[in-house]
Amino acid sequence: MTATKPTLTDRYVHAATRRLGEDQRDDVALELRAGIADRVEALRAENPILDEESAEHAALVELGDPDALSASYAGTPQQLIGPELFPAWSRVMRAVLVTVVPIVTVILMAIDAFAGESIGSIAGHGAWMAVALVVHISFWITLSFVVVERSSEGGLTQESLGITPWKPESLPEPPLGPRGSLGETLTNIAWLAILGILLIWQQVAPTVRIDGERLPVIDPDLWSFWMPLVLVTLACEIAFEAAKYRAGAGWTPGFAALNTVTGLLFAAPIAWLASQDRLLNPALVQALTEEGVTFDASIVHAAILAAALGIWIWDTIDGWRKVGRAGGLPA
Amino acid sequence: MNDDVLASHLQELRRGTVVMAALATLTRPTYGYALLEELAAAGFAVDGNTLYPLLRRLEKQGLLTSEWNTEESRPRKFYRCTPEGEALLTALLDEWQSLHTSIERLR
Repeated sequence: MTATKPTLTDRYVHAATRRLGEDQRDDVALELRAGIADRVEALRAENPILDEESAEHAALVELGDPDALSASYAGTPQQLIGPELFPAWSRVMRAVLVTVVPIVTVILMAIDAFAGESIGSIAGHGAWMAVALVVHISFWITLSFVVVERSSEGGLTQESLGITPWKPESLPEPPLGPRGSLGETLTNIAWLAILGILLIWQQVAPTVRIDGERLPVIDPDLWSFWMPLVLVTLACEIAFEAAKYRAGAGWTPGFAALNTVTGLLFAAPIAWLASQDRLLNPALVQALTEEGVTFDASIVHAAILAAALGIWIWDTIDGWRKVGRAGGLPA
Repeated sequence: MNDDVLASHLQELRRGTVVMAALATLTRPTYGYALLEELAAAGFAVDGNTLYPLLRRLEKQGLLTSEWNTEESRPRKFYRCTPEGEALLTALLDEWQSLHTSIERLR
């Protein structure tokens, strides 16, 4: 890891190679770097007044949009939107989705809150609106691009559409260290999502059946406040996983600290409820006891308390250990 | 004749010739940027963003081999024709000749 600011070339090479497979990424990066350096040298030989930075800038403008270059390396056809418009389409989509969806969702949820809705219905409504927004925005943006592209007769250029052409200044900053693996991120998110679905499912469609009556495992009274809170902390954990991957910085001390906090946010309500013997559905406990099952609710609660704290501590230590391994901490 | 129309048709016509020009040049080991300059000097104006991915595709198809040379100031990837690449060049040139003959016959 170097402390120097990434150059335009660093940023360009990162942008052009980040979507390539592991097997060719480093090789392409190295060749691209050499090619750019050769071009910079040639430009400066032709025009000695040109300084290093302007020459680098000019060389990158010649190479053009790194997304387009990346696509032609990967050999992936970009077909719904033709190659001329694809980079602009994908940029517009990303920009609109990451700004509009969270803002509108938060505003709608705030309106619900003022209207005195229950936390459960605010969260449900918010999640539903977020999904609906993503679907609508994606559809309408894509449709408008398709219409524009199909209705113009040849000679369609980004300039003619008033879309600002790609510029080296718009290159993203490359990550400081190795990116965490996508597989690990997706696995973590999947587990968190499954946990959330199980929590909701055991309430909505209980599988434990006693005397023909279906009983949720977790106390239904907790849905007035505690369970929605747990679901929100689960969502925070998912957002954290996604953010960590997006930042591409691997495990930094900041992420390890955040990981500790989000883990605690999730573990704390569960641990608190377990320590108060309030997690299990009293009706279920009573029914089980009447069935003659030897069952001690306080032991189950103690086990859940231990598991919640244990997972949190293990996850925290694991996060900090990964920081150490990534060289973010003095050994 | 409209200059734009001419330019776009010439571009269409030349598109496939870049592969032939590259294969013809790469009987000698050459690195990407040097090939770019050599082609430009010979009148094949190719952009880096076309040529670099093209070289990789040809390599993947077994028409080129490559080797990193790390002895000079910056590491450079040198490409060279394989026997398959040379065979393809011959086949393309034959096709080129026969197309030319056919067109002449049609006029």
